[in-house]
Amino acid sequence: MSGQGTDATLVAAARAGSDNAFARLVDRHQQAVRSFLRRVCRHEADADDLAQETFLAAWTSLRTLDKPERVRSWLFGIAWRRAQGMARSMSRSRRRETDWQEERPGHDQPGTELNIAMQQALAQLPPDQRAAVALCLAGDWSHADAAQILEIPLGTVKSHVLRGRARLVEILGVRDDEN
Amino acid sequence: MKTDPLKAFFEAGEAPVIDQAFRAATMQRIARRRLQLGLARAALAGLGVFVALLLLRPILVILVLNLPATIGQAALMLTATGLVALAGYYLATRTVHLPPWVQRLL
Repeated sequence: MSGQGTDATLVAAARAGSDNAFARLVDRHQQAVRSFLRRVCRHEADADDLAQETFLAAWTSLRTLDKPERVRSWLFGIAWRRAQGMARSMSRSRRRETDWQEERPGHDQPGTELNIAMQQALAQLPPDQRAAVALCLAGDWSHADAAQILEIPLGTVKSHVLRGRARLVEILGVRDDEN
Repeated sequence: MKTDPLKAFFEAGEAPVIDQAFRAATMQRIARRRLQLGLARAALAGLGVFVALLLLRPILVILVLNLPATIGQAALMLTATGLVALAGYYLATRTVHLPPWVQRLL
């Protein structure tokens, strides 16, 4: 990591106008942000579009970032607010900038059965619960971090994660050894 | 050792670790936004200069009229040429290192 610079170094360079540094931030965090949004949104294309909007918003307001070393949680916060905004305005234009996806190798491959099953299961959870599960169970965020990102109380996050997990286990019909 | 039964399901939905197309598309959007912001700032700056010249017109007219004809014309031509050259160079390269206070104005 030190060879490519820390997040704080990259943020400082991006703030100074380096596109290369910002592109490296995109490279570093795109998987986590997109994976989170794919679990929160119902459509993969919407999620990837939102992820791009998230990075664009981050680029625009990079100067407002107080703690550059916490850029990932800041990005997740932006992503979550964008996802909520999109959910609220489902009537928004479906015309998206998805041309780039057609050039991706294997973009039209159907998702795996496991992924499809998980998407369908997640779709049955309320949005907040889905987001808490996506952060704490699928991602490696602590409950406290998730509470900060989602801007909800810590107790609510814990409850969402517990209930969400139980519901997913039930829907997917897997054996849960945790209980 | 216990393994989370949901782990395999979550892993199946992970986005790719490296995605050049995503990166390129994101940076393209950023470039477009930068261009829009640049054009908006340039338009504002242009408007500001226009209004300033309009307000200063009476003074400028007096100055130009009081100068000897040849010097007045030369000064006008030099000023206009300089401004056009600076604007052209800025648009072509965007590398003119203006003083910070001028950059703030732009």
